[in-house]
Amino acid sequence: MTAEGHRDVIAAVEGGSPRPTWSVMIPTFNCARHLETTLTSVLAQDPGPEHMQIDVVDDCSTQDDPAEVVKRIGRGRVAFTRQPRNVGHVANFATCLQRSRGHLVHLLHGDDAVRPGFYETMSRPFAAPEEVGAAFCRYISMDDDDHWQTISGIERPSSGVLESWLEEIAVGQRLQPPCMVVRRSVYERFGGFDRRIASYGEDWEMWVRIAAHGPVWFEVAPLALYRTGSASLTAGSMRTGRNVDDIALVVDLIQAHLPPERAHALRLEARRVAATTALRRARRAFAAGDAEVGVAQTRAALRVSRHPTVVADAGRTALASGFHALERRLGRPVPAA
Amino acid sequence: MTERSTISQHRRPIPPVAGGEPRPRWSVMIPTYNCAHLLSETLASVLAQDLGSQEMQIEVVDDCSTRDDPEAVVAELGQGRVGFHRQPRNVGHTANFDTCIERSRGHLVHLLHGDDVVRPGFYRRLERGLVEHPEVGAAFCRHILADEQGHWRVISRLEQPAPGVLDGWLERIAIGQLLQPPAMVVRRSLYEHLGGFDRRIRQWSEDWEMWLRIAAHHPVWYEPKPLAVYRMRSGSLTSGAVSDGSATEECCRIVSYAGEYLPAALHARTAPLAREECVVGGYRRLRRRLDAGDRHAVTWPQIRAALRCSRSARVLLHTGLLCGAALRARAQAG
Repeated sequence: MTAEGHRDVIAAVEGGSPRPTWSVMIPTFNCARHLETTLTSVLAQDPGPEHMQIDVVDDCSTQDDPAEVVKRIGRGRVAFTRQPRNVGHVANFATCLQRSRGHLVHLLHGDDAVRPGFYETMSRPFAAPEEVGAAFCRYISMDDDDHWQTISGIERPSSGVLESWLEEIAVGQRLQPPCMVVRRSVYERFGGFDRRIASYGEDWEMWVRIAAHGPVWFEVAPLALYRTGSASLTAGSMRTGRNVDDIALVVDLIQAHLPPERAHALRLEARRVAATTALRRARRAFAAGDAEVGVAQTRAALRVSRHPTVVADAGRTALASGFHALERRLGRPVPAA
Repeated sequence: MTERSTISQHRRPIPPVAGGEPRPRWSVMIPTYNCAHLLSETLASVLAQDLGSQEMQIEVVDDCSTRDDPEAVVAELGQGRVGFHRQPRNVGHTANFDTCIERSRGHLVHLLHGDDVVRPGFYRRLERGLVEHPEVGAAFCRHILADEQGHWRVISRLEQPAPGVLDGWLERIAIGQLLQPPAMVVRRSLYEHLGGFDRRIRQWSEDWEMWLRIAAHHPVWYEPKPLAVYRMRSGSLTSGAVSDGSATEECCRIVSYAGEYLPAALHARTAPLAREECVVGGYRRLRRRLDAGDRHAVTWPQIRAALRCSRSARVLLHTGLLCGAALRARAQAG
């Protein structure tokens, strides 16, 4: 652990052996059914072992056998490690970072994937004269059957270093892990993911930390594929609103990385954004007829922020819930999810 | 018979292909009008999956562009492989689409606008359903909407998870437009049977009327991979047709035209919902403009056209919400 005590130490790579450019580190936990897609997408652009390390690090899966997939698809090209016991995803990510030997680390979850050209395109920003610490591209979300759903937003109209990125990323999570590439030296300097974040948002905290450190590059092509887990969030925390409280915790942790004179304003704005997102979720739930989630998300939103726009938005959400109930009674067919 | 003749006076008949020459499987017909700067991307996407001139006709049909030279693009990229035809005078996009269909010689017609593109595997995947299932009249895939820079923005909704004939498709497409032209492939014989695009439609929904007419006569095949990219033009968002309400009015007229060929019970069931969708879809576009800062996006002619189209409870509710938002926007500005 580092001096702060919440992050794993990522030591510099030892020994004089030549290091590859890339480390594609693939954490898995009970997602072997998707791992074939993940590995195939990486191996299709494999520049060879001297240029790219490819490692699967399994957090002691209980329901499936990722080792079998690695053997079948990897054919000796992909290394496999298993944690002796289940350590949780944040600790497993730290193991991934520690085992990496390349200059650029791509943490690719074992159910996500890359599109053709990812590694070639994403290595370019690191050759730029500015010392770019990290680069990310747009991503496409996909469902359990690999069907694409949505495409992430455009941060700037062409690829390049982002201006005032810290202010953008400090107020809301807008990235997913497979789109991000980070210099290993940055992880060595900052350590691993923050262990105080147990449920989710540990990646967001990391991207803020990196943004505070130096330039971040944006690639406009959507070259990463992110799997929206059907089971992940929808189950428990959405019904209690705990997901929103968890985000508020991350918002508080983020403050440490912000310039002191901006921290307070950005914190309020981040809480407002989290509440607005929760209200959007609430409206979607009401529209789909799930009043329990709708109510929980609305209440959680008001717990997190009392900004006037949030209060007004909550009022509109309440109106919308009545409106959808009315539409339902008017016999309007409910659109498929 | 009387019904047939009243319908066809609004559509150009498409004669069968003359002569005994062997016909290609595919006709990729590319209508253009002042979009030569985007045409090279379109052509490159087709040529990358060229099945050879025996199997695939590729032709650009220009509606007498005034600002650029598509013929030069065709000559440079096509290297003799791509045909080129120019209308002697500007005939309008609907008539130009008809010319595309008439000039096609293949069995399967793909009308690919000169600023849209196909993704790898489009032709191979879409012909599967049509070749293996003779009763299928048309096939389409999911599409991606790209902005004017060509950046992908939105993926069309998933109609069903696996390739196959769509269940209840007529009911779905009767309620609203769900497709963009580059996603659709139609048997030429079907155009010969149904005629060209409806000339009463002047703005942008002639394709919806066609897909509706096709769905009324034949099963339609679906491919869930997003293999077509449609480029959104900001012009369509700010055009006069939106401001003066004529887009909503035309949408509503198409719903009435559909009564000419839809089964009566289905039309009775879907027409009120389709009219609502004409209004609510139009309102959604207005709302986007309002949110983007255009305080005067909402006008009385639009509201009047909308309420002439439908006065269902849903439309009244949405009208109230939109007018409220418009008044709020003006109050905030003034």
